[in-house]
Amino acid sequence: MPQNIPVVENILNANDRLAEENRARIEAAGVFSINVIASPGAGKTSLIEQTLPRLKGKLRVATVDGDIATSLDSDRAAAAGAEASVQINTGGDCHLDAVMLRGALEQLDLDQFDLLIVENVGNLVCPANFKLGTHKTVLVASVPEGDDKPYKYPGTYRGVDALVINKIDLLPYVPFKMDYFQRGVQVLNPNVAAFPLSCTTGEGLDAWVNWLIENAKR
Amino acid sequence: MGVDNFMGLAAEVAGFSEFSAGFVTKDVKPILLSLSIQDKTFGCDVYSEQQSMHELAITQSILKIALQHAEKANAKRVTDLNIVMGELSSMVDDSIQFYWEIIARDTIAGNAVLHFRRVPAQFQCTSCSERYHPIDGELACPRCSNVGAKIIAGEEFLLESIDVE
Repeated sequence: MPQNIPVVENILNANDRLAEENRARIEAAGVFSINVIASPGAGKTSLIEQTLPRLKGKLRVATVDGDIATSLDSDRAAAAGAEASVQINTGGDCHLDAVMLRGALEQLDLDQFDLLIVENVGNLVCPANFKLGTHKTVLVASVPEGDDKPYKYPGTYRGVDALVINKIDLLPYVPFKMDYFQRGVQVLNPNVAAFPLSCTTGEGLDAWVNWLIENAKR
Repeated sequence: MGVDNFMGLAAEVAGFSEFSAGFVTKDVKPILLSLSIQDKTFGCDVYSEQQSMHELAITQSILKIALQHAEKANAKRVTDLNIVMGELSSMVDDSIQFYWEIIARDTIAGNAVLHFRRVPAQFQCTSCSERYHPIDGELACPRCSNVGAKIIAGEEFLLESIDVE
């Protein structure tokens, strides 16, 4: 006998529940955590590389790096001064999910750290859908990608807590209209903390680093 | 369904081998490779070293939810799934359909038809309260040009109901 069964269940519920468990675990250890997302080449790893030396003596940092394959990024984070660095190879997945982060957390003695930086897989669409349980999501945009990204990926820009605009040293050379970019961001996410900076020249990095320190000390 | 079986099935689908070719890196130093492949909550073991899209994980989640509800109702088979998909949810229904045909075929939902109800994005201006659908390349309010808006629809992504027999 045909029958309609109402379900009304968020399809990502299972992941969301696990993300909450991750959050509880991170909070219990008193760690501030961020999930860094960006398209490939925007400068996630460079940002982490530039950030870690500036946090030396201020915050004890662990990093988790998600990649489809290779441990190149986690090697770079370790070289830049991360006190612990865990690599997750997603085996083909284009994003990290809460299960993967849970496995990585098990490898870390969280009590030893103040800040956990999770570097997601380079991808602007998928990581936005899968919560990990971190406190804040940071989107790294970069000037050469173009000023239309907030308009093309509204779901991604809407869901983030901080926005790093990397490679501002290239502004004189590319047709990137900061006004147009910022207007898109403002519609979608008026309260986002924005940090225009350059990982090459170091310009703007202090404000970003201070934001991390303030949040971690809270 | 094991990984080998899955890859065999996948190869039957035109274009799949092309889609996955060239992405598998042999020279890797995986520290946690196993956890992402085996420790999945979504219940299916079709993870492989294929380059995949997020729709695979999502399709597994849809299947799991549907089967749970079908089982609760003692259903013999699932005939239809009604999925609500917001315009801003960045999901591709063709990809879900593609994965569905592979991962659901040995279950009681193997012949189910997937129905996707698209919900258009709807913004509400925080200044003049105008409700509008954003146009390409412009998100500001078309009435007053204000750049503050609440998103009131378009982010949904849920399994609304299933039809069973």
